[in-house]
Amino acid sequence: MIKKLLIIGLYSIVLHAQGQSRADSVNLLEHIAVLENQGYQFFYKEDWLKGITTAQPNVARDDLPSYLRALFATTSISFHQEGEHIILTDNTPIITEPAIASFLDETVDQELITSGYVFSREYDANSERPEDKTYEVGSRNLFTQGGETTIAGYITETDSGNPVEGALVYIQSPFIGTSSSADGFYSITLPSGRQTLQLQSLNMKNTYREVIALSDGRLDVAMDIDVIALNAVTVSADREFNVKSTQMGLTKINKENIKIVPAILGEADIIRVATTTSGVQNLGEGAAGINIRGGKADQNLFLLDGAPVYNTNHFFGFFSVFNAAAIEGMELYKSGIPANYGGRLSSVFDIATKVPNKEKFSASGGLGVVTSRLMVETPIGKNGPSVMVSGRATYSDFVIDQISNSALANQDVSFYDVLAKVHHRWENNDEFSVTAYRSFDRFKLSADTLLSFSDYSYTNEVFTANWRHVFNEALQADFRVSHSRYQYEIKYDELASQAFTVDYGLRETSAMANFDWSMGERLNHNFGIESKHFSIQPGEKRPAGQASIVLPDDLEEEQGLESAAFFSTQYNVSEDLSLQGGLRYSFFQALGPGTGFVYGDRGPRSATNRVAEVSYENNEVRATYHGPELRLSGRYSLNETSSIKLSYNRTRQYIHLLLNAASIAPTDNWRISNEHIAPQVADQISLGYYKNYYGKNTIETSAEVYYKDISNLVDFKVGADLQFNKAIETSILQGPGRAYGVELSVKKNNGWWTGWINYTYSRSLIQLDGDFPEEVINGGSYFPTAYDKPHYLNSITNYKFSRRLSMTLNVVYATGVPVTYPVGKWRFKNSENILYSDRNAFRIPDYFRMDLGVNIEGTHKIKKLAHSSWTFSVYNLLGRDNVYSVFFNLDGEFVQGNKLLVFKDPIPTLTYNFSF
Amino acid sequence: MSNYLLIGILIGTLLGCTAPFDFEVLETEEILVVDASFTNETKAHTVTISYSIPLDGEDQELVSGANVWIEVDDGSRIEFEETSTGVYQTAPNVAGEVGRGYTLHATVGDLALVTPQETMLETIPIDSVYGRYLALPMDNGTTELGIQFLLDARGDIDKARSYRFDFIETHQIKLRFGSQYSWDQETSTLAFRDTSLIDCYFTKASEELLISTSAGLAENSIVEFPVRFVSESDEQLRTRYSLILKQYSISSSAYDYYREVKETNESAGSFFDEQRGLIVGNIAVEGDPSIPVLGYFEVAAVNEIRDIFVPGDFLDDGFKARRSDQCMMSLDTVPQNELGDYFGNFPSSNIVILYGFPPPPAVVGPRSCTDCRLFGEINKPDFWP
Repeated sequence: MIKKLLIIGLYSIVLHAQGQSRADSVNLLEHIAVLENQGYQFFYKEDWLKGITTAQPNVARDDLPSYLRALFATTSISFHQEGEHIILTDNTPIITEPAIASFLDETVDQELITSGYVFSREYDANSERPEDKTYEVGSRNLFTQGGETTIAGYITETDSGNPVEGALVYIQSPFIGTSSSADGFYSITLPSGRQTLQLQSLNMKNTYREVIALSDGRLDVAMDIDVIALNAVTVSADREFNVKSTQMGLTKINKENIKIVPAILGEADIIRVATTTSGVQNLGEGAAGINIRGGKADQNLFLLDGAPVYNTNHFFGFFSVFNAAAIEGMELYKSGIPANYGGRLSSVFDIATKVPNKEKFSASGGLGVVTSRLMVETPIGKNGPSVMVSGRATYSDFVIDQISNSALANQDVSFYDVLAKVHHRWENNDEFSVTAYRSFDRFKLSADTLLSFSDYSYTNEVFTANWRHVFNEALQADFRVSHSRYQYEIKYDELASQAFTVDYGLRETSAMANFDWSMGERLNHNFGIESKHFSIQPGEKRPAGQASIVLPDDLEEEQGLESAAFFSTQYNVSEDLSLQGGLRYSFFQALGPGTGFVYGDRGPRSATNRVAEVSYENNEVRATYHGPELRLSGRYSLNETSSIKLSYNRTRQYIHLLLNAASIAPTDNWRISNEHIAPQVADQISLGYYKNYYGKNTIETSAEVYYKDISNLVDFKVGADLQFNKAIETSILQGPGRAYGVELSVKKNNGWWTGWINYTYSRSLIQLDGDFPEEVINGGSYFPTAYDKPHYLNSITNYKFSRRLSMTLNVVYATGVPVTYPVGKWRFKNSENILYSDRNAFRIPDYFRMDLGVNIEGTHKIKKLAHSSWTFSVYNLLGRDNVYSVFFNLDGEFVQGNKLLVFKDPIPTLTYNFSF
Repeated sequence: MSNYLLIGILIGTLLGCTAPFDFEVLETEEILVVDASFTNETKAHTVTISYSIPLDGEDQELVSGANVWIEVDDGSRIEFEETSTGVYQTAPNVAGEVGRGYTLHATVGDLALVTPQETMLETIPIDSVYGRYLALPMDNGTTELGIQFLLDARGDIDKARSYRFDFIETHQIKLRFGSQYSWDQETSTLAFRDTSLIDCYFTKASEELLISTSAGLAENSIVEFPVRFVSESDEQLRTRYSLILKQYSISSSAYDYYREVKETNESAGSFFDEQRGLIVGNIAVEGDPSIPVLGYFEVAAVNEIRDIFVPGDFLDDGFKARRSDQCMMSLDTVPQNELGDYFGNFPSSNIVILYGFPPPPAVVGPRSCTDCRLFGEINKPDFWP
């Protein structure tokens, strides 16, 4: 400290000057001269003060420190007084003592920042929650870039004001922590700048404070009484979000949620966690694809840092391709989808990756049951960008080999995924990030079990660059370019002479500009444009091996352009009424080159009914579809604790997954709309009632009803062959669909036991009533889709026995999915054949599963270098034989029924977690 | 938790499996089935009209009283007569012609059925039918040794690319202890049989849809198409085995239809099972597309190959026909003067031979060891060498 002063002294130039001072504003140089005449000696560099005028302090001159503080208040000058000597510095604080005591006596340092550092997205003036605010600690005058700041203060209980003893106060990265003393006092020294101060305490609800640590200062924190301190169960981020937000049908999932839901095979998965929330269904173990509010699996838009991911499944859908280690969180929109999202009918899964560690190099890894993983994060230089690389891969087929006797037994399965991200934030808060991602799956199955192909592999590749620019306090923009690629290869090699491979490839390149414009507390706008170019190679067939006489063959490439402009406005009419209105206008063109077929009116679309061929030039428009997509929602508060919300949205989808089975298969391919395949359009209206019960514990409840009307829902003729089909329209059927339901949810966020329970009644129906026999399914009446599950109940219950021991119970019940049964036989050409019922006229048995997770934490000593925990989980605790699917074979003259069970026994997994 | 190490241990094992599934279907729907074929063979062509069978039923309900005819693209008509219940046939000297178009019409009650015009496509010659000794994987995970009969066909690229096959197999049954003498209990007469009950012939037609296509291949060739598998434990290849195989040149639509029907009958029970349902062929009800009709009107040119195989053909490959000799233990020797008593007690026995010192006693055995007619026809087929 003394050394620093000396240096300042050496470089300071002593200057004497004289001048006049004016009453309202004063010239600093002249004013200092006046003070020096009174016996003080100032040390400074003339350049710092030259030409600076400041207001005449309104403080008596005999209290010199106060006088000087006022004099320099609007300048970058700091001062330090040593008796008669006053040392001035420009933009450099002089720290004479580390004493916390000096500022503990002050109470005004805790200031709410209202401008300059905080932007509309981060600063919610409406919110009463301290978590939503940003606190400036210390004096901006004393801020040193790259320095350290000591924050101290008292932690108290919100209502009683009693001190909280033993509360953990820490920042996550780099990990620096402390705990509060018996009188609630704490002191923590951390890197200056923006920090998130986390606070945890037994019996208190976890909280955090967004802090800009400028210089040593005081921050008192009041904590809410709670009994759960660790692994709090919250799905919606905010306590009042349920009631106060205009948004409906939004589920937020963060890293904490991922941890508490019992994992399958020890692999935490954000998509699986989503299926424990209201209105999100999947078809059972190994069923790839998620059905939201009666929507088909291809109607969900999965975005990874804004770029679409086309196949989200690893390992037959047991896991998603999103590596939980690299994920910050996810927002799932089921209704009231904001206007800046488009392209899918049912939902948006907006997944954000972590911001790489900006403080220091860190690495983490893990050995799971199925995969091993590694993540490395590091900043590059001081104040430079930071980089993260995260990957995981299967390391043995051990697990698969244990799945004896099933379709998976003794099969060769492997996958990996890797994600790299670079992120940089400038001082003006502009941010730039680039994310690159690749996932790869490969498996080999005996040809007689599945689809008659043997080797499968598929790859997702995603690249996205995002730039966030802050124009001013009111306006900020996000600019994004992204490129997604999905491709698969399947191989048939049972007969060497006919061995071949089929390759499929899809590329989507998109650009988007998205603006947020805040016009005050009550009016906010969001607007922008987005354009996506699709390029699809639906199939390239190549002979495999020397002996193959298969002819190379290619399906024609397809390309299309989807563009949209959107504008939405949120207007808070009053405390009670908030309205949001948005319009997205989307425009799609299917483009040549290509050959289209024209079919006769008197027969179905089939190879035999082609009457003409049309050739399209490169970029010639084959078909154009466009239309407005209205997105409206509103919230009316009935009182402080309850509200009703109403929303309507229309969504349009121009790219369709040709999905012949209920579950997504690796051979399903995406095709774009063209002259024969119309876009799918859905209108959803939903109404919800939300009520929170506050008290010792907060209980959130909600009830939402929805009705969805869909046109041009894509389905298929019986026995449709979707692989390498040169005229895919001959296999496709389109018809109206409708889905409706009610979702009831109760959620308890704090207390010794927390959790949620959801019940959903939902129906999903389709009508296929064409003009020709093969286009009429079930006599042309509405019938249940293959993913129609009327009753769906799921719940998560987390009970905390002590600070170190907690238990989670997960329960799922669902009506069995519809299935088509044999109802008879028929004899033809001396062969016996199965006659099937109307499509989806029967159901498989109901599904019920219970999972248990027990978490044992190590000690919570702050100074302990490392923390560890054990997680023991049992998947399918009751060992119930849940039927995944039923299928029928002809055994001579008899029709034999069989059921496929994926996990018929409980699957216990023990996981050791270690953090440092 | 920015840094963490995760070590997972799987304690138990995973079990996934298939198990029998009992299902109950109370309702059943009767759907019209039309099995119609018209070829370039000179014969009485047949159309069979029936209803589908309930799951637990066995007998087909045939539909009588229909009016059936084929409209030829030259405007002529080929009429069908109901020869037995539900079976409609042309005159015996009718033959189709390659290149011509045929449309099937039928009126069944109030329903008028019609098909699109189907063209008879030119077929390609069959190279050969041959057997190969191999181990075939079975559904239950085991393998079975035996002879897989395969077919190769090759022809010009402009001929039909899709084919259906059916076959008639015949094997000779040779009983080691076939009866050579007969006993008349009423007259107590012992007589040498004109035709001993040693050699019989069992004939059976194929019972599944066999289809193949060369579409997508550089050549119009059907290579190593598996026709029939005969296991070492089967009867067929113990003596002589005849295959008469017919190849039908079908349209690609017919091929697709048969493929869909086959796929509907066979399911692997995978994660990705395809949608099951009723598959519509080329027969429709005029004016009401919502009434489904099962079956197909197949128009095809036919060629045929016939070959006879003996176990010796495959001995070098390692083929061993397994044969059980339990009958040896079932034989008995009865003095001729006690035959009356014996047949009084065991009327369903037969005399194999007379063997021993004169008067030679009769060697007798149960019918299952001595009468080949239990297993086939005693009359030798025309083509048998």
